[in-house]
Amino acid sequence: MGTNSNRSNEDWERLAKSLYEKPAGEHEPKDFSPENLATNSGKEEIYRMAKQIDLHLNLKKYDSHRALQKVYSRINKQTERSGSRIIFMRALKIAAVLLLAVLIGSSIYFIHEKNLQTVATAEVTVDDLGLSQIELADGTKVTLNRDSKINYPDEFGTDTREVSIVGEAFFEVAPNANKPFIIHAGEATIKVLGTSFSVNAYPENDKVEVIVETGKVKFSKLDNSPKTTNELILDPGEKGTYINTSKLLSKCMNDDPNFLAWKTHKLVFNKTSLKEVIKQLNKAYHVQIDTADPSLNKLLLNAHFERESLNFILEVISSTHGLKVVKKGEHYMLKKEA
Amino acid sequence: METKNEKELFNQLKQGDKIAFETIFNTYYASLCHYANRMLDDDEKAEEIVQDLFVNLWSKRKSLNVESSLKYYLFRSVRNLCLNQIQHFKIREKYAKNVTENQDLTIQDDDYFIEVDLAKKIAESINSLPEKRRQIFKLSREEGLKYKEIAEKLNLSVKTVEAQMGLALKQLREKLKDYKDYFIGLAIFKISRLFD
Repeated sequence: MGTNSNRSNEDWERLAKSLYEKPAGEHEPKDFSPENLATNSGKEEIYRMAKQIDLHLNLKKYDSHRALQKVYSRINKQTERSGSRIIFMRALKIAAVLLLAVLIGSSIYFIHEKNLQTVATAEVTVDDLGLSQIELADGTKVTLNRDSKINYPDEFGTDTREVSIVGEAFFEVAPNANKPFIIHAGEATIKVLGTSFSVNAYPENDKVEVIVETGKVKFSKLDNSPKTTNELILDPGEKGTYINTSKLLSKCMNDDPNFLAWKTHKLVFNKTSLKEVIKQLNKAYHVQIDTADPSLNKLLLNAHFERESLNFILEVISSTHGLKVVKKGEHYMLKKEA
Repeated sequence: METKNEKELFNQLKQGDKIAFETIFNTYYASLCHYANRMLDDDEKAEEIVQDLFVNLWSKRKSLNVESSLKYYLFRSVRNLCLNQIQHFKIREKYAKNVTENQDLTIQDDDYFIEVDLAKKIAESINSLPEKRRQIFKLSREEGLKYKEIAEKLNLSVKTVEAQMGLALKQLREKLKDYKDYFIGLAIFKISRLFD
């Protein structure tokens, strides 16, 4: 009975040959009698090991993550068909949905603060992601991202509904054709004209962005210079941008499917680089994720997450690419598995 | 295969819990494909059938009742879907007979499931083989080439391929020696089944 250590290279060669070179079905060890088990257990064990290695290679062929995306897209197609009526009903109830995110030099903000009353008595609740939800006097609902502020009056005036914001927020504006809803975001002003839209701005770039979902939005700036565009009308799917430093307004199509992820925790990655994935996760989950090695940034990810925990998402990413996650407090580091 | 939380998972699935759905999917997907491929000898078709099964599992989750086990249910469904497929090919008589005669569906776990830690360790062990040896081993085990074919492809002698395969097996056995008892356990389990 050869133990592992005293098996010669020739023995291993013979063993490998009997395992791998005989036609399928023939390499099942024949000698199963209990008496032979003792002498054969070494061989039997190696046979089992070889079989598990083959099984591993066989199962590895199937890409579960990609398959799950396929299954989800088929499931979603089915539910879209049955869910379209509900979505339509909802659209009738909400005149305007908008996301607004602004972080700017606070001087402008303070000017507005003087004009608007700050009231703390409105209906404020905290949703399951820990975000504040405020219902304004007219029924408009506002979800505030972290480190964000909104200023609004207790009662709106007779002609307009005006609020101001610092940070990032999602608005579901109650319809009222006679009283336009106006949001002051730094040097930019967003006016709800039609049905539904969203507004978004990134603080690190010192700009204000507006993303329209449905309906029409008027996006204008404070500084009225005759030579440049002072206001834009945004249609669904469009993104308007105001750059604070150059004071320029522009628009293009929105190409970021995850702009609302901080509120929905719904993330779609389609051959997205790990660098971009991390940027989105940092924003949506308010954490700091980094890669240990810049070459990892180029790894691509296909995935669709809906209200998953950050740990789950990181586990999917790391098992997809053979990485490991080292966590220190709110800081995560992605490393190649040693 | 762990089944202790299977009932709970199944109940969560019925309530529309996506995490439960994904857990089930990730646990069974590759194994079910492997099983389907054994019947159909067609990887693409195998994946298609298993994906169909999961789309249906989700859309019919509310009306689903599983008497025995979720695992048994999934494997039996795949088996039936494969039989239908074989019927489509109009070669049912030739192949389906063998399969249907084997009415009792025994799923030998170690034919379809692999421990997560072991799978990781195997991947590591294969990666740690010297490049040439790893290439030869993969051509044999992943591509299913014969020694002679490998030798021709890589412009080596058959003798070299034989020696390298022996060394690969030896090295893998060395790397996986912590699992020795586990493999013996699988072997004894299999043998005791033969004597049942």
